Amino acid sequence: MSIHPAHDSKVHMGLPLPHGKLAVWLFLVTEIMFFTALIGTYLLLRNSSASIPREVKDEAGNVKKERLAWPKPHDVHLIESIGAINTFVLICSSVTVVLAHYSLHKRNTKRAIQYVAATLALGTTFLVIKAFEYKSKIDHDILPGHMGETLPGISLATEKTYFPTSQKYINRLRARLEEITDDPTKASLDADSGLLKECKQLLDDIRGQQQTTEAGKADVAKPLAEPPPRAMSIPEIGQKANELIEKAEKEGKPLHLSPTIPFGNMWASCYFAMTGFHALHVFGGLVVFVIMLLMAARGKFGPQHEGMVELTGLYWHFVDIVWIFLFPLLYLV
Amino acid sequence: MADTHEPVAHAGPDFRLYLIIFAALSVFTLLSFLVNALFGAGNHTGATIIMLVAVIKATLVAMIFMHLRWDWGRLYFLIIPAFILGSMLMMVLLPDIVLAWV
Repeated sequence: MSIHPAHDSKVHMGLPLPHGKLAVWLFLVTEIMFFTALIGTYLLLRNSSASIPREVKDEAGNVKKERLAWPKPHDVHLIESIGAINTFVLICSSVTVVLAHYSLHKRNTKRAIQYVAATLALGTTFLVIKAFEYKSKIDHDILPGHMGETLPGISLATEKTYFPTSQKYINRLRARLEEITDDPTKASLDADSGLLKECKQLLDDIRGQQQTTEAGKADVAKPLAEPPPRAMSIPEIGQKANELIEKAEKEGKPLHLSPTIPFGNMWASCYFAMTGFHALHVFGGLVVFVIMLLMAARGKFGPQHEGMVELTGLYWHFVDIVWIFLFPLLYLV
Repeated sequence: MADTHEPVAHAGPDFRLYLIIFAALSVFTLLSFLVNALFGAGNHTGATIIMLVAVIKATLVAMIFMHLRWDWGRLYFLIIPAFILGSMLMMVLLPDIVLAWV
């Protein structure tokens, strides 16, 4: 015989909170941990790039001491206004999703569906703008592992530390220069253009710097263990490449050469990790909004789905909050 | 237990409050952008203002849009530990990653 305790309507198990809300908040807490890991790592790595000192000679021959530091947004082709527009787009989408929930609560299904559609449109706009930004990075070859890290004036010890990745960078630069000089028309260069001459010159300098086999052919596949004693060092080649890129941009003929940006590879890794995961989260939210609209199209969406809209809204607001922090950390400060 | 939705629990924001918060968020975003344009990227004062503004914006979204102003008493025990863990993560790694470099 089972024992039934007296039913006391004032005593309840669990929290005075709907199950769905508790579950979604628990999920959001795990997402807080996820993004805190990424953003925290970014903050630590950025603050650990306590700049590398180097000596630079200006035209008069005076030696100036400066420090290489974490790239500024301008150095990596990050445009603050685009980030600000994206922030505004997400804020608008947060407003529309909360108004969707409000409308559904007031049992105005049609208005709620309109707000959901608006949220979907704004979220898609965010992703489209992000895609343009990513394309800009790809065009400038600002990708993890692609850039050179050393500039002239760095101490020999530091140059040796960076040497293995610098060698990979030189190989990459060389491959692209060979592409340009083999077929200048593909890079929209005329046969007699000054840019083409400079590309050829840089290629010769690099070839002179590469290790050669007994036959005298450059052996690109075997990276050197130590920097060879050559006339033009890797940092100097890197600087030449940067100058060439700048000149090409001024003439409006992008050469798609890999730039030399100190800490650039670290920056690119952080940038793509953080914004990439955020974009994936945005996409996930958009999938749910599409499902809502499909339900509405089949006439199966109504005030009974208020909970669904509220909980999806909670997730969407979290995604917005993450971007509210990502925007200043990446673009502004 | 059935998932009852207490009508009292929705004593909360109305349409006007949502629009006011939207206006505030837009103004704060513009403010951050202008501070950055005026002070430049590396400036410490500018950075402090911008990060403070970011915290205020996030708090507004969390408190009003996510309904936390009314639900906080039922959810703080989940949210606070996440922030403790987050800051601990950074503090624990600080000596080896940030301070170890000369």
